[in-house]
Amino acid sequence: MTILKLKRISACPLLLAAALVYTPRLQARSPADTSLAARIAEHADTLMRGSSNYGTYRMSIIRPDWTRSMTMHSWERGQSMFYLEVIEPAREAGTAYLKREGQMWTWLPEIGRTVKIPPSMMMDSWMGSDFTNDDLVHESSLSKDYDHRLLARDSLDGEDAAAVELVPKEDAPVVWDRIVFWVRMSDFMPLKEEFYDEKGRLVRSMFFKDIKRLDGRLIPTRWLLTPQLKTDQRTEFEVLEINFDVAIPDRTFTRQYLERSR
Amino acid sequence: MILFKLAWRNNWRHRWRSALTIAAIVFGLSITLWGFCITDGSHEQLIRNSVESFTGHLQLHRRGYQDDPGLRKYLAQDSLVERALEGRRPEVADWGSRIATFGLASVGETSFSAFLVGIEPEREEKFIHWREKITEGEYLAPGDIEGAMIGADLAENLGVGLGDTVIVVTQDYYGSLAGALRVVRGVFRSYAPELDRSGLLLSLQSMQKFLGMEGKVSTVVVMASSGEKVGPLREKLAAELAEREIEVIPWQEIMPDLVQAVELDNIFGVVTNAVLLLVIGFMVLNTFLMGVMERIREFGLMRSLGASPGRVVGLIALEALLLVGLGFVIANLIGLGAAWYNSVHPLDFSGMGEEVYKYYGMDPRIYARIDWSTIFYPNLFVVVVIVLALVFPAWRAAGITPAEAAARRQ
Repeated sequence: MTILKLKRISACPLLLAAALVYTPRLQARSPADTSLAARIAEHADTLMRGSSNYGTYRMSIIRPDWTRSMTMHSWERGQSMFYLEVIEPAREAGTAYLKREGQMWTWLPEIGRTVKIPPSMMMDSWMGSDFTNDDLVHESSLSKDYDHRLLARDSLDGEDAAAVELVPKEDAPVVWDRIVFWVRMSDFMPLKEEFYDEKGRLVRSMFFKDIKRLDGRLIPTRWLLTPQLKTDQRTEFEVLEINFDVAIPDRTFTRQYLERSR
Repeated sequence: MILFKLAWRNNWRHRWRSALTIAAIVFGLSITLWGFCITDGSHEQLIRNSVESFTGHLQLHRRGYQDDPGLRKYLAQDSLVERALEGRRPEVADWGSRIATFGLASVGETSFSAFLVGIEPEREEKFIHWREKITEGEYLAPGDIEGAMIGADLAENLGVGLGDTVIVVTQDYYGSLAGALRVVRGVFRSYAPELDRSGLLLSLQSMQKFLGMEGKVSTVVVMASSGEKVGPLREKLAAELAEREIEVIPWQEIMPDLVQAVELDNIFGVVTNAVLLLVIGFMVLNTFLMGVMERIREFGLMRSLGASPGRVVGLIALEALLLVGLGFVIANLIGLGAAWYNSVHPLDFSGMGEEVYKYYGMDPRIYARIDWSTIFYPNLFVVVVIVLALVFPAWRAAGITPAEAAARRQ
């Protein structure tokens, strides 16, 4: 049984995408390449710029014999804090997650207790999806942790696209050996991201779809995470609404708030 | 006829020697027979104990579950399995459905790993000894959603008793973290470490609700009408259910360590007794050989009177047969008699390491079990040993010539 070390994607769905888009520091091949990669990076960085956000999402977990959908709200501040609460379906409603200081807690309404997610559970699936707890908890410092270079120019899904390769720096606390990130040339919107392990195998792919303007920003509103080894299953995230740069009271990101009576 | 008389009288000419030889055979063979019957009985008890405490004779799973269990490998609670099992009565005596998984049980700040089993209480109590193992409180009622029975050691570790609430957390069918509150209805001690130290029994419905597995089960536990029926029953059920992707696993595959422990014990028994019987074989060889060597002149006389070598060997063989035969009869009478007695009145070790027996889930009272194979093979072995012991003396006797005999003083 291979234990796949997963790249830690930062908290919250939107930041998940943000984490996948980083400021490339280019090992350029040519001045033209440098400027292109730099521009891609800059745009990706600005795409997710915003100190806080509040959003509503739908996550669909698709499996060969069943599909489940969950609706949730999340409040996020920077990369280090988020609070998420599940609204639907009834079975999961009221389940909440709090992340701060690199740790995660979950509130289980059926027992009226908080469970801290220990390191041993970090690689377990988050809510039964293809994301792991670790994906949500890890705070990535992508511009500092990776070396980037422009890999290719090609057509992807009928659009003119560029691929950037990201290789972690030597002491970077990052688990993927290599990531290939595709953006469309017209506006540098992310299209696809591929994650490779230390043996060079493609382990999972994230696809970015339905690029829309929400709260004044153009962002992909649907993300599909597909494990490479199990092509009959995937997890889909839909951004139903999102608001950037909102004021969120500090107490939202506390255990007391997580455990408040509802 | 005269040969018989001759043989018999020849034996009793050396009263002590013959008696001791017979005694040796009786001792060795009767101990072996009785010992095997006792061992057999204790094995049968051990197996029956394990089978009736938890595993049942057979278990039905979704194919692949035995090697790699998981909640997603479920059996639907439709009538398919019911019909297959009903159709096989009376070889099938009873059955019950279960869901089993691991989780965490906590009370306050204390948490322990828990083995969660959802059972159908009213069905399982017909063939699994849950009720007898209860030390406090009550057995689960069917349909009890909030109740649980807890293993005695787990209860102690968590510091809970009757009426206390335990928080249970595990991954549900969908892979999500799920929690539930359960109230202790009863405490049990089964002497199976896994169950006592981590067992938490819920009703099947309670488990299904908790895990989101309504209408689904992990296992159907089946009890056959007797141990011998298990093998053939398994084959028939496996054939019938194979195309529905259902595997039928016998207890031997569920508890291979038990099977190996029994086999190992048997091997030790066989080796020890074989050595004992071989030593006795040497003693018998000695008797036979002496019987030949000291009668060389006698045999020579017979030969000179016209007896063939075959006749001489025949005489010796007959002597051996009468001597050993007597030993066989007495040995079997004593050995099997003692075994029969112990099959009714068990060897009782209570008061002498009783707790050790209970620790292994065994009754300190051991019943003997008499089976044709436990009788046949030791006897066969002794026959072979005796025959081998006869070879050299017979060969020697066959080679005696009148001339050789005459040359001897004796």
